[in-house]
Amino acid sequence: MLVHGEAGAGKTLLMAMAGLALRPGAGRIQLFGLDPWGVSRQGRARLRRRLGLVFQDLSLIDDMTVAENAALPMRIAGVRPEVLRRDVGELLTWMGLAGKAAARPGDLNHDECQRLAVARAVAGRPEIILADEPVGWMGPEAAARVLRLLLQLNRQGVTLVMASRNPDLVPAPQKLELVRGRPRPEARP
Amino acid sequence: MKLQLPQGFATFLILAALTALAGLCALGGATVLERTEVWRTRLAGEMTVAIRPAPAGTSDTEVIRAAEILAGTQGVAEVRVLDRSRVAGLLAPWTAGARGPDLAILPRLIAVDLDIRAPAQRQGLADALSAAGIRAIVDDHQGWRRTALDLRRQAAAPLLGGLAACLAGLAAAGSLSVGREAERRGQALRTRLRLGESPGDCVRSLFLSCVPELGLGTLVGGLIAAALGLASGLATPGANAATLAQPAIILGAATALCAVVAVAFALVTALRRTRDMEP
Repeated sequence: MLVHGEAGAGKTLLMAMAGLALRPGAGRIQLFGLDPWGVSRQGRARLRRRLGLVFQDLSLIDDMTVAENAALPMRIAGVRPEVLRRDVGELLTWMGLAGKAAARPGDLNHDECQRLAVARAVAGRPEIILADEPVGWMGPEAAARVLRLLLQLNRQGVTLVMASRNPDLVPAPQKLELVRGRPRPEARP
Repeated sequence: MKLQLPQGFATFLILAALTALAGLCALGGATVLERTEVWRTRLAGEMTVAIRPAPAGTSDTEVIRAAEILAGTQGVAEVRVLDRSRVAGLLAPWTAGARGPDLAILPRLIAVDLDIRAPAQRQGLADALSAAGIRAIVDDHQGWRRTALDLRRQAAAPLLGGLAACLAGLAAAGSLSVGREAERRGQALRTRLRLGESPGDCVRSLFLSCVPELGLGTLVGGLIAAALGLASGLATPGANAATLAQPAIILGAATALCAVVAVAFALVTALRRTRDMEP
Protein backbone atom coordinates (compact mmCIF):
# COMPACT_ATOMS: atom_id res chain seq x y z
CA MET A 1 0.00 0.00 0.00
CA LEU A 2 1.26 3.45 -0.86
CA VAL A 3 0.18 6.52 1.12
CA HIS A 4 0.92 9.66 -0.85
CA GLY A 5 0.14 13.33 -0.70
CA GLU A 6 1.72 16.74 -0.62
CA ALA A 7 4.04 17.85 2.17
CA GLY A 8 1.98 18.52 5.30
CA ALA A 9 -0.85 16.23 4.20
CA GLY A 10 -0.39 14.06 7.31
CA LYS A 11 1.51 11.08 5.92
CA THR A 12 4.17 11.06 8.65
CA LEU A 13 1.53 11.51 11.36
CA LEU A 14 -0.49 8.60 9.99
CA MET A 15 2.61 6.37 9.79
CA ALA A 16 3.66 7.34 13.34
CA MET A 17 0.21 6.42 14.66
CA ALA A 18 0.17 3.17 12.68
CA GLY A 19 3.61 2.38 14.12
CA LEU A 20 2.35 3.11 17.66
CA ALA A 21 4.86 5.92 18.05
CA LEU A 22 1.99 8.36 18.63
CA ARG A 23 -1.32 7.85 20.36
CA PRO A 24 -4.33 9.17 18.46
CA GLY A 25 -6.32 11.89 20.23
CA ALA A 26 -9.53 10.64 18.61
CA GLY A 27 -10.55 7.63 16.56
CA ARG A 28 -9.40 4.05 16.86
CA ILE A 29 -6.45 1.99 15.63
CA GLN A 30 -6.68 -1.74 15.14
CA LEU A 31 -3.55 -3.77 14.65
CA PHE A 32 -3.51 -7.55 14.17
CA GLY A 33 -7.12 -7.52 15.33
CA LEU A 34 -6.26 -5.77 18.62
CA ASP A 35 -6.65 -2.28 20.02
CA PRO A 36 -2.98 -1.51 20.77
CA TRP A 37 -3.87 1.27 23.20
CA GLY A 38 -6.23 -1.00 25.09
CA VAL A 39 -3.54 -3.58 25.94
CA SER A 40 -0.73 -3.40 28.53
CA ARG A 41 2.63 -1.74 27.87
CA GLN A 42 4.19 -5.16 27.50
CA GLY A 43 1.46 -6.18 25.09
CA ARG A 44 2.02 -3.02 23.07
CA ALA A 45 5.77 -3.70 23.01
CA ARG A 46 5.01 -7.21 21.64
CA LEU A 47 2.82 -5.68 18.93
CA ARG A 48 5.58 -3.23 17.98
CA ARG A 49 7.98 -6.14 17.55
CA ARG A 50 5.79 -7.40 14.73
CA LEU A 51 6.28 -4.08 12.89
CA GLY A 52 9.28 -2.84 10.95
CA LEU A 53 9.56 0.94 10.99
CA VAL A 54 11.49 3.33 8.76
CA PHE A 55 11.12 6.81 10.23
CA GLN A 56 11.48 9.95 8.20
CA ASP A 57 13.90 11.29 10.81
CA LEU A 58 15.64 7.85 10.67
CA SER A 59 16.03 7.73 14.49
CA LEU A 60 19.35 5.91 14.39
CA ILE A 61 21.08 5.49 17.73
CA ASP A 62 24.34 7.43 17.72
CA ASP A 63 25.92 5.45 20.56
CA MET A 64 25.64 2.20 18.61
CA THR A 65 27.60 1.00 15.60
CA VAL A 66 25.96 0.42 12.20
CA ALA A 67 25.82 -3.33 12.88
CA GLU A 68 24.33 -2.80 16.35
CA ASN A 69 21.72 -0.41 14.98
CA ALA A 70 20.71 -2.89 12.31
CA ALA A 71 20.62 -5.74 14.82
CA LEU A 72 18.53 -3.88 17.40
CA PRO A 73 15.10 -5.36 16.47
CA MET A 74 16.61 -8.87 16.43
CA ARG A 75 18.25 -8.29 19.79
CA ILE A 76 14.94 -7.05 21.20
CA ALA A 77 13.25 -10.16 19.79
CA GLY A 78 15.83 -12.35 21.56
CA VAL A 79 17.49 -13.83 18.45
CA ARG A 80 20.55 -15.97 19.23
CA PRO A 81 23.85 -14.01 18.85
CA GLU A 82 25.32 -16.30 16.15
CA VAL A 83 22.13 -16.11 14.04
CA LEU A 84 22.00 -12.38 14.64
CA ARG A 85 25.60 -11.86 13.46
CA ARG A 86 25.05 -13.94 10.33
CA ASP A 87 21.76 -12.27 9.35
CA VAL A 88 22.99 -8.75 10.03
CA GLY A 89 26.14 -9.43 8.00
CA GLU A 90 24.04 -10.58 5.03
CA LEU A 91 21.66 -7.66 5.36
CA LEU A 92 24.42 -5.04 5.52
CA THR A 93 26.09 -6.62 2.47
CA TRP A 94 22.79 -6.43 0.56
CA MET A 95 22.43 -2.77 1.58
CA GLY A 96 26.00 -1.96 0.56
CA LEU A 97 27.02 -1.19 4.15
CA ALA A 98 29.20 -4.22 4.87
CA GLY A 99 32.35 -2.08 4.97
CA LYS A 100 30.83 0.28 7.51
CA ALA A 101 29.59 -2.26 10.06
CA ALA A 102 31.83 -0.90 12.79
CA ALA A 103 31.19 2.78 11.98
CA ARG A 104 28.79 5.01 13.90
CA PRO A 105 25.77 6.63 12.26
CA GLY A 106 27.50 9.99 12.61
CA ASP A 107 30.19 8.80 10.22
CA LEU A 108 27.68 7.94 7.43
CA ASN A 109 26.21 10.23 4.79
CA HIS A 110 22.44 10.66 4.59
CA ASP A 111 22.06 8.09 1.83
CA GLU A 112 23.87 5.47 3.92
CA CYS A 113 21.88 6.41 7.04
CA GLN A 114 18.65 5.86 5.14
CA ARG A 115 19.82 2.46 3.91
CA LEU A 116 20.72 1.58 7.49
CA ALA A 117 17.24 2.62 8.66
CA VAL A 118 15.69 0.32 6.05
CA ALA A 119 18.05 -2.50 7.04
CA ARG A 120 16.99 -2.08 10.66
CA ALA A 121 13.31 -2.12 9.71
CA VAL A 122 13.55 -5.41 7.84
CA ALA A 123 16.05 -7.09 10.19
CA GLY A 124 13.46 -8.32 12.65
CA ARG A 125 11.47 -10.15 9.93
CA PRO A 126 8.38 -8.06 10.66
CA GLU A 127 4.87 -8.88 9.50
CA ILE A 128 4.20 -5.27 8.51
CA ILE A 129 6.79 -2.77 7.29
CA LEU A 130 5.85 0.89 7.69
CA ALA A 131 8.26 3.02 5.67
CA ASP A 132 8.01 6.82 5.66
CA GLU A 133 9.88 8.19 2.62
CA PRO A 134 12.24 5.19 2.61
CA VAL A 135 14.24 6.30 -0.41
CA GLY A 136 13.72 10.05 -0.23
CA TRP A 137 17.41 11.00 0.02
CA MET A 138 18.93 8.10 -1.87
CA GLY A 139 20.61 8.15 -5.21
CA PRO A 140 18.75 6.32 -8.05
CA GLU A 141 20.88 3.18 -7.83
CA ALA A 142 20.59 2.79 -4.02
CA ALA A 143 16.88 3.66 -4.16
CA ALA A 144 16.24 0.96 -6.79
CA ARG A 145 18.11 -1.59 -4.71
CA VAL A 146 16.17 -0.74 -1.51
CA LEU A 147 12.80 -0.75 -3.27
CA ARG A 148 13.67 -4.11 -4.86
CA LEU A 149 14.37 -5.52 -1.37
CA LEU A 150 11.13 -4.15 0.05
CA LEU A 151 9.05 -5.48 -2.85
CA GLN A 152 10.76 -8.84 -2.56
CA LEU A 153 9.80 -9.00 1.12
CA ASN A 154 6.25 -8.01 0.12
CA ARG A 155 6.10 -10.90 -2.33
CA GLN A 156 7.19 -13.20 0.49
CA GLY A 157 4.10 -12.20 2.48
CA VAL A 158 5.19 -9.11 4.41
CA THR A 159 2.63 -6.29 4.33
CA LEU A 160 4.30 -3.15 3.04
CA VAL A 161 2.94 0.33 3.74
CA MET A 162 4.99 3.15 2.27
CA ALA A 163 4.47 6.89 2.52
CA SER A 164 5.87 9.17 -0.15
CA ARG A 165 5.18 12.38 -2.00
CA ASN A 166 5.73 10.45 -5.22
CA PRO A 167 2.47 8.65 -6.19
CA ASP A 168 4.39 6.49 -8.68
CA LEU A 169 7.13 5.35 -6.30
CA VAL A 170 6.10 1.68 -6.58
CA PRO A 171 3.37 -0.19 -8.42
CA ALA A 172 1.17 -0.59 -5.31
CA PRO A 173 -2.11 -2.51 -5.51
CA GLN A 174 -3.63 0.00 -3.07
CA LYS A 175 -3.01 3.72 -2.94
CA LEU A 176 -4.27 6.24 -0.41
CA GLU A 177 -3.97 9.92 -1.14
CA LEU A 178 -4.08 12.26 1.83
CA VAL A 179 -5.21 15.85 1.51
CA ARG A 180 -4.89 18.03 4.63
CA GLY A 181 -5.02 15.05 6.94
CA ARG A 182 -7.94 13.28 5.29
CA PRO A 183 -8.13 10.65 2.54
CA ARG A 184 -9.54 11.81 -0.74
CA PRO A 185 -13.02 10.23 -0.92
CA GLU A 186 -12.43 8.54 -4.25
CA ALA A 187 -9.06 7.30 -3.04
CA ARG A 188 -10.30 5.34 0.02
CA PRO A 189 -8.84 1.82 0.03
CA MET B 1 38.11 28.89 30.68
CA LYS B 2 35.08 26.74 31.41
CA LEU B 3 35.87 23.62 33.42
CA GLN B 4 34.58 20.50 31.68
CA LEU B 5 34.03 17.55 34.00
CA PRO B 6 34.03 14.04 32.53
CA GLN B 7 30.61 12.43 32.02
CA GLY B 8 29.26 11.15 35.31
CA PHE B 9 32.08 12.69 37.38
CA ALA B 10 29.75 15.13 39.14
CA THR B 11 27.51 12.25 40.22
CA PHE B 12 30.52 10.32 41.43
CA LEU B 13 31.77 13.33 43.38
CA ILE B 14 28.40 14.07 45.02
CA LEU B 15 27.86 10.44 45.96
CA ALA B 16 31.37 10.10 47.37
CA ALA B 17 31.02 13.28 49.45
CA LEU B 18 27.57 12.41 50.78
CA THR B 19 28.53 8.81 51.53
CA ALA B 20 31.60 10.04 53.41
CA LEU B 21 29.43 12.45 55.42
CA ALA B 22 26.83 9.77 56.08
CA GLY B 23 29.58 7.35 57.14
CA LEU B 24 31.14 9.91 59.48
CA CYS B 25 27.71 10.76 60.91
CA ALA B 26 27.07 7.08 61.59
CA LEU B 27 30.56 6.51 63.00
CA GLY B 28 30.53 9.68 65.12
CA GLY B 29 27.02 8.94 66.33
CA ALA B 30 27.86 5.38 67.26
CA THR B 31 31.02 6.52 69.07
CA VAL B 32 29.20 9.24 71.05
CA LEU B 33 26.38 6.89 71.99
CA GLU B 34 28.78 4.13 72.92
CA ARG B 35 30.95 6.40 75.09
CA THR B 36 27.98 7.89 76.94
CA GLU B 37 26.70 4.37 77.52
CA VAL B 38 30.09 3.28 78.90
CA TRP B 39 30.07 6.34 81.17
CA ARG B 40 26.50 5.67 82.26
CA THR B 41 27.25 2.01 82.99
CA ARG B 42 30.34 2.95 84.98
CA LEU B 43 28.34 5.52 86.93
CA ALA B 44 25.62 2.97 87.60
CA GLY B 45 28.19 0.52 88.98
CA GLU B 46 29.61 3.02 91.44
CA MET B 47 28.48 5.10 94.40
CA THR B 48 30.31 7.85 96.20
CA VAL B 49 30.04 8.23 99.95
CA ALA B 50 30.84 11.66 101.36
CA ILE B 51 31.69 11.76 105.07
CA ARG B 52 30.57 15.11 106.37
CA PRO B 53 33.37 17.03 108.06
CA ALA B 54 33.08 17.33 111.86
CA PRO B 55 33.61 20.80 113.32
CA ALA B 56 37.10 19.77 114.40
CA GLY B 57 37.78 18.05 111.05
CA THR B 58 37.19 14.46 109.96
CA SER B 59 39.66 11.98 111.36
CA ASP B 60 41.21 9.29 109.23
CA THR B 61 39.97 6.71 111.74
CA GLU B 62 36.36 7.60 111.09
CA VAL B 63 36.89 7.36 107.34
CA ILE B 64 38.58 3.99 107.66
CA ARG B 65 35.74 2.75 109.91
CA ALA B 66 33.19 3.89 107.29
CA ALA B 67 35.15 2.13 104.57
CA GLU B 68 35.18 -1.09 106.59
CA ILE B 69 31.42 -0.91 107.17
CA LEU B 70 30.81 -0.31 103.47
CA ALA B 71 33.15 -3.16 102.47
CA GLY B 72 31.20 -5.49 104.71
CA THR B 73 27.83 -4.55 103.25
CA GLN B 74 26.19 -7.00 100.86
CA GLY B 75 26.35 -5.92 97.21
CA VAL B 76 29.65 -4.03 97.51
CA ALA B 77 32.60 -5.34 95.54
CA GLU B 78 35.34 -2.86 96.43
CA VAL B 79 35.86 0.28 98.46
CA ARG B 80 38.47 2.97 97.82
CA VAL B 81 39.15 5.88 100.13
CA LEU B 82 40.14 8.95 98.16
CA ASP B 83 42.97 10.89 99.80
CA ARG B 84 42.58 14.57 100.65
CA SER B 85 44.55 15.87 97.65
CA ARG B 86 42.46 13.77 95.26
CA VAL B 87 39.29 15.12 96.84
CA ALA B 88 40.69 18.64 96.60
CA GLY B 89 41.37 18.03 92.90
CA LEU B 90 37.87 16.71 92.29
CA LEU B 91 36.26 19.59 94.14
CA ALA B 92 38.64 22.27 92.83
CA PRO B 93 35.97 23.84 90.60
CA TRP B 94 33.85 24.47 93.68
CA THR B 95 36.61 25.35 96.19
CA ALA B 96 38.35 27.89 93.96
CA GLY B 97 41.69 26.16 94.42
CA ALA B 98 41.80 26.36 98.24
CA ARG B 99 44.85 24.66 99.77
CA GLY B 100 46.43 23.82 103.12
CA PRO B 101 44.27 24.06 106.25
CA ASP B 102 41.19 24.99 104.18
CA LEU B 103 41.05 21.43 102.92
CA ALA B 104 39.98 20.28 106.41
CA ILE B 105 36.49 21.59 105.73
CA LEU B 106 36.12 19.34 102.70
CA PRO B 107 34.21 16.08 103.04
CA ARG B 108 36.16 12.84 102.75
CA LEU B 109 35.08 10.72 99.80
CA ILE B 110 34.89 6.96 99.51
CA ALA B 111 34.36 5.38 96.09
CA VAL B 112 32.26 2.23 96.28
CA ASP B 113 32.33 -0.28 93.42
CA LEU B 114 29.16 -2.31 93.42
CA ASP B 115 28.81 -6.01 92.80
CA ILE B 116 27.26 -6.07 89.32
CA ARG B 117 25.39 -9.31 89.98
CA ALA B 118 23.50 -7.98 93.01
CA PRO B 119 24.40 -4.33 93.53
CA ALA B 120 23.78 -2.70 96.90
CA GLN B 121 21.10 -0.01 97.08
CA ARG B 122 21.77 3.59 98.10
CA GLN B 123 19.44 3.35 101.10
CA GLY B 124 21.14 0.15 102.31
CA LEU B 125 24.55 1.85 102.43
CA ALA B 126 23.11 4.95 104.08
CA ASP B 127 21.38 2.82 106.75
CA ALA B 128 24.56 0.83 107.48
CA LEU B 129 26.58 4.02 108.00
CA SER B 130 23.82 5.68 110.02
CA ALA B 131 23.58 2.63 112.33
CA ALA B 132 27.30 3.02 113.05
CA GLY B 133 26.79 6.69 113.93
CA ILE B 134 28.62 8.02 110.87
CA ARG B 135 27.20 11.14 109.25
CA ALA B 136 27.49 10.54 105.54
CA ILE B 137 25.80 11.24 102.24
CA VAL B 138 25.53 8.38 99.79
CA ASP B 139 25.45 9.52 96.17
CA ASP B 140 24.28 6.92 93.66
CA HIS B 141 25.16 9.24 90.72
CA GLN B 142 21.55 9.56 89.62
CA GLY B 143 22.19 13.15 88.53
CA TRP B 144 25.18 12.21 86.38
CA ARG B 145 23.34 9.22 84.94
CA ARG B 146 20.50 11.52 83.96
CA THR B 147 23.05 13.86 82.37
CA ALA B 148 24.51 10.93 80.40
CA LEU B 149 21.04 9.92 79.26
CA ASP B 150 20.23 13.52 78.27
CA LEU B 151 23.50 13.70 76.36
CA ARG B 152 22.61 10.51 74.49
CA ARG B 153 19.19 11.87 73.67
CA GLN B 154 20.51 15.26 72.57
CA ALA B 155 23.29 13.77 70.45
CA ALA B 156 21.10 11.16 68.81
CA ALA B 157 18.69 13.60 67.15
CA PRO B 158 21.21 15.75 65.20
CA LEU B 159 23.27 12.71 64.26
CA LEU B 160 20.24 10.86 62.98
CA GLY B 161 19.13 14.06 61.24
CA GLY B 162 22.54 14.41 59.58
CA LEU B 163 22.47 10.80 58.47
CA ALA B 164 18.94 11.18 57.12
CA ALA B 165 19.92 14.39 55.26
CA CYS B 166 22.90 12.62 53.70
CA LEU B 167 20.72 9.70 52.66
CA ALA B 168 18.15 12.06 51.16
CA GLY B 169 20.98 13.77 49.27
CA LEU B 170 22.19 10.41 48.01
CA ALA B 171 18.71 9.53 46.85
CA ALA B 172 18.49 12.85 45.01
CA ALA B 173 21.94 12.35 43.47
CA GLY B 174 21.00 8.86 42.27
CA SER B 175 17.75 10.15 40.77
CA LEU B 176 19.46 13.13 39.14
CA SER B 177 22.14 10.90 37.70
CA VAL B 178 19.62 8.69 35.95
CA GLY B 179 17.51 11.70 34.96
CA ARG B 180 20.48 13.37 33.27
CA GLU B 181 21.45 10.15 31.56
CA ALA B 182 17.87 9.72 30.34
CA GLU B 183 17.95 13.26 28.91
CA ARG B 184 21.21 12.52 27.14
CA ARG B 185 20.00 9.24 25.71
CA GLY B 186 16.35 10.20 25.36
CA GLN B 187 16.24 9.89 21.57
CA ALA B 188 17.86 6.46 21.69
CA LEU B 189 15.38 5.33 24.34
CA ARG B 190 12.42 6.62 22.33
CA THR B 191 13.70 4.80 19.25
CA ARG B 192 14.13 1.59 21.22
CA LEU B 193 10.59 1.89 22.54
CA ARG B 194 9.26 2.48 19.02
CA LEU B 195 11.17 -0.53 17.80
CA GLY B 196 9.36 -2.75 20.25
CA GLU B 197 11.52 -2.77 23.36
CA SER B 198 9.42 -2.73 26.49
CA PRO B 199 9.97 0.09 29.02
CA GLY B 200 11.15 -2.54 31.51
CA ASP B 201 13.93 -3.69 29.17
CA CYS B 202 14.93 -0.09 28.44
CA VAL B 203 15.26 0.54 32.16
CA ARG B 204 17.89 -2.18 32.40
CA SER B 205 20.30 -0.48 29.99
CA LEU B 206 19.65 3.01 31.33
CA PHE B 207 19.98 1.90 34.92
CA LEU B 208 23.05 -0.29 34.37
CA SER B 209 24.90 2.59 32.73
CA CYS B 210 24.60 4.58 35.99
CA VAL B 211 25.45 1.76 38.39
CA PRO B 212 29.28 2.08 38.05
CA GLU B 213 29.11 5.78 39.02
CA LEU B 214 26.77 5.04 41.93
CA GLY B 215 28.83 2.07 43.14
CA LEU B 216 32.21 3.74 42.77
CA GLY B 217 30.96 6.95 44.42
CA THR B 218 29.63 5.16 47.49
CA LEU B 219 32.71 2.94 47.76
CA VAL B 220 35.12 5.89 47.62
CA GLY B 221 32.92 7.82 50.07
CA GLY B 222 33.03 4.87 52.49
CA LEU B 223 36.81 4.69 52.22
CA ILE B 224 37.14 8.44 52.81
CA ALA B 225 34.93 8.12 55.91
CA ALA B 226 37.08 5.21 57.14
CA ALA B 227 40.28 7.23 56.62
CA LEU B 228 38.85 10.32 58.33
CA GLY B 229 37.42 8.18 61.14
CA LEU B 230 40.83 6.62 61.78
CA ALA B 231 42.62 9.96 61.58
CA SER B 232 40.22 11.67 64.01
CA GLY B 233 40.35 8.85 66.54
CA LEU B 234 36.73 7.76 66.07
CA ALA B 235 38.25 4.35 65.50
CA THR B 236 41.35 3.73 67.60
CA PRO B 237 44.44 3.74 65.38
CA GLY B 238 46.71 0.77 65.88
CA ALA B 239 44.02 -1.07 67.77
CA ASN B 240 43.64 -4.78 67.45
CA ALA B 241 41.19 -6.38 65.05
CA ALA B 242 38.47 -6.80 67.65
CA THR B 243 38.52 -3.08 68.55
CA LEU B 244 38.39 -2.06 64.89
CA ALA B 245 35.62 -4.51 64.04
CA GLN B 246 32.78 -2.38 65.40
CA PRO B 247 33.60 0.87 63.55
CA ALA B 248 34.32 -1.18 60.44
CA ILE B 249 30.88 -2.81 60.69
CA ILE B 250 29.22 0.58 61.27
CA LEU B 251 31.02 2.13 58.29
CA GLY B 252 30.31 -0.87 56.10
CA ALA B 253 26.63 -0.77 57.06
CA ALA B 254 26.42 3.01 56.47
CA THR B 255 28.10 2.69 53.07
CA ALA B 256 25.89 -0.24 52.08
CA LEU B 257 22.82 1.72 53.18
CA CYS B 258 23.97 4.69 51.08
CA ALA B 259 24.51 2.45 48.07
CA VAL B 260 21.10 0.81 48.52
CA VAL B 261 19.35 4.19 48.84
CA ALA B 262 21.10 5.66 45.78
CA VAL B 263 20.54 2.55 43.67
CA ALA B 264 16.91 2.15 44.74
CA PHE B 265 16.07 5.75 43.87
CA ALA B 266 17.99 5.52 40.62
CA LEU B 267 15.99 2.43 39.69
CA VAL B 268 12.69 4.11 40.51
CA THR B 269 13.72 7.17 38.46
CA ALA B 270 14.81 5.01 35.53
CA LEU B 271 11.46 3.21 35.58
CA ARG B 272 9.47 6.44 35.72
CA ARG B 273 11.50 8.30 33.10
CA THR B 274 11.41 5.43 30.62
CA ARG B 275 7.69 4.93 31.03
CA ASP B 276 7.14 8.65 30.57
CA MET B 277 8.87 8.41 27.21
CA GLU B 278 6.46 5.86 25.82
CA PRO B 279 3.65 7.52 23.84
